Amino acid sequence: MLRKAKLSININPNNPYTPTNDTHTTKPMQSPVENKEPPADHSGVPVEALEALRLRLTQLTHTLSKLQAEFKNPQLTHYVSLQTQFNIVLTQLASLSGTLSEYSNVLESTVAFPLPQFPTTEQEGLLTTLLRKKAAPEVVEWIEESKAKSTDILLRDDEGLTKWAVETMQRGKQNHNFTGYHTKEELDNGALDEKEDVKMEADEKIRYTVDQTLKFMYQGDIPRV
Amino acid sequence: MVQQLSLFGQITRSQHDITAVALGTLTGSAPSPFTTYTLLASPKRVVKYEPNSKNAQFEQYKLHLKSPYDDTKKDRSEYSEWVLQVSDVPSAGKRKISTQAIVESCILVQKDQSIDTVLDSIGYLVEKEYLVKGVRVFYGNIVIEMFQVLVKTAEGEWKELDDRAYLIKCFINVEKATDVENLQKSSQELMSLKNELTGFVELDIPDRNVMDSRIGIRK
Repeated sequence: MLRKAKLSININPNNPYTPTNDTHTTKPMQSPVENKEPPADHSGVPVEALEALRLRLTQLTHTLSKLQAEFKNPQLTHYVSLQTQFNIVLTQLASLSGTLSEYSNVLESTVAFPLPQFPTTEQEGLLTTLLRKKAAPEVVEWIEESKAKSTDILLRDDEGLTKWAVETMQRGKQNHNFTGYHTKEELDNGALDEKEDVKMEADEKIRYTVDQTLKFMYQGDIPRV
Repeated sequence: MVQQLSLFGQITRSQHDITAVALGTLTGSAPSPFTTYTLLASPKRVVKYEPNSKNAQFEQYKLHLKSPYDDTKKDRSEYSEWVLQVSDVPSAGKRKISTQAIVESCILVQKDQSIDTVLDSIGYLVEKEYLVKGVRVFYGNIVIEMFQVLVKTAEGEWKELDDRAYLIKCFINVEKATDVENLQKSSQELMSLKNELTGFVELDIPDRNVMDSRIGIRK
């Protein structure tokens, strides 16, 4: 139960983890053909604290159920054995409370769903549905179905879109001047002061690197080429 | 003694004009031209380095003498005001910014003397002379210089050492080496300038050995 609950845990209430947003920011160009689950953001989950707690709780439940079984036994076990088991329970409780206090900082600011008030027993069906990590079978079907449909449509749309983009770009290119320091309008009107223009000459290979020049400045050695 | 934090970059000649415009736009001030006449003087007698002797602690440096260049003057004997500069080898270690200690002093040459006689009297000889010619802009606390080094040809003309490139030096001088706060702040300022100019001019830290003006007694 605890492990399942991890996905819906959020320790920073100001920045709630929203899986839909996340997919958009990390993979904006995701093609519909690519069938990849959006990577879940586990960074906000206090895995260490929860794992430690889970371990302690498992031990405790195990010991308690064993003790309970012994009590149900028609022939009562010897009190020494019972006392030993009771001691184990006590030790494990102490260890649990130790773990709780050790991670108190993290745990205090962690909100786990469902909240303790949730009627776990009555609404078990609902709870397990909500805590499912995988999509329900019928949902998977819907996804597959819509993917199969969307692939074709998008591909067809894409062709039109690409064509449109190329045309628009070419039209835009004709209307504007993308190099130099003057607009298309200025160039067309021909009223240009050549002096104002910053010219670029063809580059020749640099003779001396920064280090070689500095060496000359500091040590007087003319660098050999 | 000041600590000079600096970064260097290089551009080709064709980039010069556009870089000057860009630096002017970035800093909001027109680049001001400067030409510095620099002499490099070495000691006449180089002390031989002997390990485990008292000379082992002894370092000799080349001296820099700088003066604003005046093209009406024929040679260095006509200049009377000089700035004497000695620079240590830049600090070692993994750094992003070159940090170099520099000491400076002014020299006023008397009328019947020249800079050569002054240097001679302290046991130094002019080894090289060159001009640093370029423009300078100020950006916050940073001084940005874009320059070429000119050397004298056999005909006595000043000619660029490398006419195809310009050097860019961005630096901040911090008064005290112990002023950690200002050193840090200045480093940050230089790093942010570096980031700002990324893709335009790549500023970087040079090899510290090339900025070492010590005499090569150990080399």
